[in-house]
Amino acid sequence: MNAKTKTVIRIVGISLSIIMSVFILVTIPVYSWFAKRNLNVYAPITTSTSLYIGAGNGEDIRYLYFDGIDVENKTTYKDYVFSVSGEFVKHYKLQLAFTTNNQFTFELYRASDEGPDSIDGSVVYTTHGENEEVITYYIQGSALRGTYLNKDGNSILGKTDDDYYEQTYGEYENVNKYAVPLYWQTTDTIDLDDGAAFTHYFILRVKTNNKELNDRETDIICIAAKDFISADHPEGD
Amino acid sequence: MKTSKLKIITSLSICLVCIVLLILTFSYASQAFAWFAYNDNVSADGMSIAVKTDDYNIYIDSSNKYNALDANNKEAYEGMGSFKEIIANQGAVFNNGDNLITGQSLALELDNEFQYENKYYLIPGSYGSFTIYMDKLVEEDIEVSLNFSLSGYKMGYDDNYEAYAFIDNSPNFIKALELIKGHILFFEDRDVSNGKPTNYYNLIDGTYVYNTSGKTKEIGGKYDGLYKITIYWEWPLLYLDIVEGLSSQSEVKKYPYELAQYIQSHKNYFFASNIDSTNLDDLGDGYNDGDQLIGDNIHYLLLRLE
Repeated sequence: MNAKTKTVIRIVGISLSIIMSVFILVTIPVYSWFAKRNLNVYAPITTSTSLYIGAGNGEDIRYLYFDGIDVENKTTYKDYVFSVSGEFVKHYKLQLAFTTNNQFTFELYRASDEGPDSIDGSVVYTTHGENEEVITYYIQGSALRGTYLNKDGNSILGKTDDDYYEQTYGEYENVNKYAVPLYWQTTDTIDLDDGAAFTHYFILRVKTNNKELNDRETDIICIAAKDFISADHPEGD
Repeated sequence: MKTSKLKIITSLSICLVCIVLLILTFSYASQAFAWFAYNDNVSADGMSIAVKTDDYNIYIDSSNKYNALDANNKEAYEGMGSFKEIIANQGAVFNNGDNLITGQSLALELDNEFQYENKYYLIPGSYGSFTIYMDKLVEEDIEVSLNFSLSGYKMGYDDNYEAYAFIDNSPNFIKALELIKGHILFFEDRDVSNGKPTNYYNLIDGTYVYNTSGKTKEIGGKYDGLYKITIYWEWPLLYLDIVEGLSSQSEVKKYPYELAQYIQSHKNYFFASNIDSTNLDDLGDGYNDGDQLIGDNIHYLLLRLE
């Protein structure tokens, strides 16, 4: 074997060693990964939604009150602003529950502090805290569609023989008919696409229905918001 | 002298090549064997092999409870497609009975028994299980050890408002990852009454050991001859529920005694902040804050068994 042949063999041998060493580096990790299979158990966690009612400017609910309805000066309605704030909510509905002693009726409107000025109504709200600010909320669009869940026919009274009555009063029957709350709920869900934090404003219009006497009667009205998994627009709009 | 040196180098090179060839042959042969073994055990009824050893095989069943492609579930399990893609990219395939790729890890759904309006919710108060099946290949009893590791992903929205899963590096996310270890608890067994769990036994803290001694195999059906291993989980609704349900050394209640010790040694898994107080209201608030932190930060749970 001459020197040239030996050199060629040497070069081939060393080259093969280098190539195979690279193969080892590639192959062993692949084998390890293959040999170490595992089991994955997975599930989606449902985010805790937050949804709460507040006063104007998203302030705490303690600043929300519906007072001072003076019907003797020919007031036919009075508007109040409130907010609904939340996070990770996709869709929600609003519900009003109210007693009927004064026989007022109620309408709900979406509202915004960014106008445009609305001929349908507005509410001036003064914020609380050190730097008071005056914000005007304007009605946006027409009144929200809604239905009574327990209205007794054409009267303004709530049914006394249904599940709602039982949930409120149980088996107790000695209840004044005007103290049986009416439940009114928006027909359509209010939809948020991305679940991000939000604050929506609404104007509650309390209609006095030609009541002329300030008889210092009181009623109770509760506003509730509930999140829904999917959108609900019964008439497709 | 020069010739002898060259001879040594050449011999060493040839030896090295031979060793490399031997290692490669062994490595490729092992893979080929495993490939055949793997495919031999994928059955037509949806059962898939997940772990294969000389002593036992572990199978999992098929399920599609959280299938993001299911139109009925789309709203509730937003972003699941993205999350499953992450699991797939880590080498796992899903046990839907098809599309199995040789040599990969498998993924199964955590079975959730808590429903609201026909949707499954993994939230405080929910509970369920997951089941694997073991085929023992040797005569004598064996002991299988599975290491548990819990992790999670957060949901975000891209520019097109499409949901996707990702790992967040925020302190809240990192804390939430810690909290899931105390809020989602795993047990070896449970009792059920009227469809609700009443008692749990043996808290699983990191490692689960299953011994076939004294256990019976399933009889009939596609599970015939396999050991059924079910692990139960619960996300207790309130800290008060845990406290009131804790067994003592003298009285058996809903949760096993070792959970009390687990809480004592892992308070950071249960409460959102460091609480020195022993006041139950304060502790309950800390636990609820923990739930909130989990819900705000972890939207997909991943339990890995190795």
